[in-house]
Amino acid sequence: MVLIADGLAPQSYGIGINMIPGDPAFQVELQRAPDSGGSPGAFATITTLPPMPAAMTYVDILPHDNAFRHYRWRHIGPGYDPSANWSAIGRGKPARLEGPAAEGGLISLYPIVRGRPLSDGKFALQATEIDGSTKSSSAHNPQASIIPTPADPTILLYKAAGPATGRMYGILRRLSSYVFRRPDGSTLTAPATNAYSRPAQPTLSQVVAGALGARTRWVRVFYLKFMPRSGNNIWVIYRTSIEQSISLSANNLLKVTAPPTVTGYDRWGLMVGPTSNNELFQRSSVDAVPFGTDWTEPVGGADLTNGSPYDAQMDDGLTIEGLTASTNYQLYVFFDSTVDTPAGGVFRIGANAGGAPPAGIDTAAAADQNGDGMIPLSFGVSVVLPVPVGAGSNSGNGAGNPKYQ
Amino acid sequence: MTLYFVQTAQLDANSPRGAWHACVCPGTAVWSLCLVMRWADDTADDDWEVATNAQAVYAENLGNVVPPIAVTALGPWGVVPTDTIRQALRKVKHNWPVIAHVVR
Repeated sequence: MVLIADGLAPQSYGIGINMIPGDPAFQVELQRAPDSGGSPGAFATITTLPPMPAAMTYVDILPHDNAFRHYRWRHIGPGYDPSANWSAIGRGKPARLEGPAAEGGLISLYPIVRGRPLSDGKFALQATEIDGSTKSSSAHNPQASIIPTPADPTILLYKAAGPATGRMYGILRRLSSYVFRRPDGSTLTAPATNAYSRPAQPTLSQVVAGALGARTRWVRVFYLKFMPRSGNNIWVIYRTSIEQSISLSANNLLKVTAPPTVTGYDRWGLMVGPTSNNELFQRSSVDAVPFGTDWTEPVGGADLTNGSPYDAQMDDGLTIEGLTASTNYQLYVFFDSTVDTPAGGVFRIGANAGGAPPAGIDTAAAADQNGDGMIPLSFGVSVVLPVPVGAGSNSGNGAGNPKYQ
Repeated sequence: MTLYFVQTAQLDANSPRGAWHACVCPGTAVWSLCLVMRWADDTADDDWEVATNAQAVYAENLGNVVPPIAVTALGPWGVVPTDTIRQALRKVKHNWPVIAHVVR
């Protein structure tokens, strides 16, 4: 710092370096290098700054020598190796500093300014992704409406059937792909439900345990997605596999090998039956099996009483089971491209506050289908699933209000 | 909105173009009731009726006595030969509430 000739105020010169933290949890190491023929000379650390939640400006006080300096920065943190990724190098000459900048050091920690265009002439949104896109709706709250992606709930076929209350089931199918058209003209294709990932015929074996007699068991496996807020106790079943059988020796338990992991599904599950095509869902909490874990039959044997039974349409769609007879379930169906990414996404079903398929108009389920990143098939209920009396069978399609049609 | 009496196999092979619900009749799985809430286009109803030979239940006939096949098909839900179609549909409603859109 030098005194100017009039002696009334100090005057300083320096270079301001603007930095936007890549990770606000880490400290910043700032380095400076002298100019060497237009390129930076040897860098040396000039300061270490604390973690910054937003953009910041550091002012490097320098002589008024009109010489270039080069700067770069990176993240560091106790217990971590310093980042190998230095920022791009910035270059500048000392300029006269005024106001708070004249004091030098960390002078500004400010909210990101969005009222200034970026290099593409557009303004910064509250992006959550490194490419500048966002998966958070917060920035869209002022819009106060749903992005108009047309959809038609009649594309979904349903079947509701089952032997008795508590063992009824509902199946949703769409046997060809469906194209969503976004307002910007781009499209997103929802694959047919019979194109979702389907586990192969399961691998069965037996382990010496228990005291059950010799028996034959038939098994199907499937991928599952927990319903929101269900506490991982209620799940949607996707595409049952081809069945496989095994003759079990006395004093042995059935073991089912886990199918391969598919991105987006939560776990895998299974059906077990005494004869071909008569498998029942195994529905206790341990029957939603983590990927990489095999399933072993309980010592009392598989549950051949309580689960909903197999239906051939389950091979090609998504199923909810354990439903109550004579009940009109109100299904809020939406497309989620993050589940089963090899297939391109799946249809999901919103849940009530208790995590179950709603049997009436339900705002929690409606919120699920309007959640960030989801595409609902209707503004409200998209499929009314009229579960019949025990031993009955209903069918139909989504009759909710078509969205924007 | 139209209610039909249709053979289940025909329905399975030719779903209506539009929004619809159907239930398999409890007395005989050969027959189904199908309620079409709305048609997708102006010719969807004609095309489907020709393709399936579905029999529409018209409002002006609700006072007629049910045909014998309806007694067979819907007997487990309490439909008897002396019921009018309206009375029969009210009994159906208790088991298939979707039909509340048609009969009150």
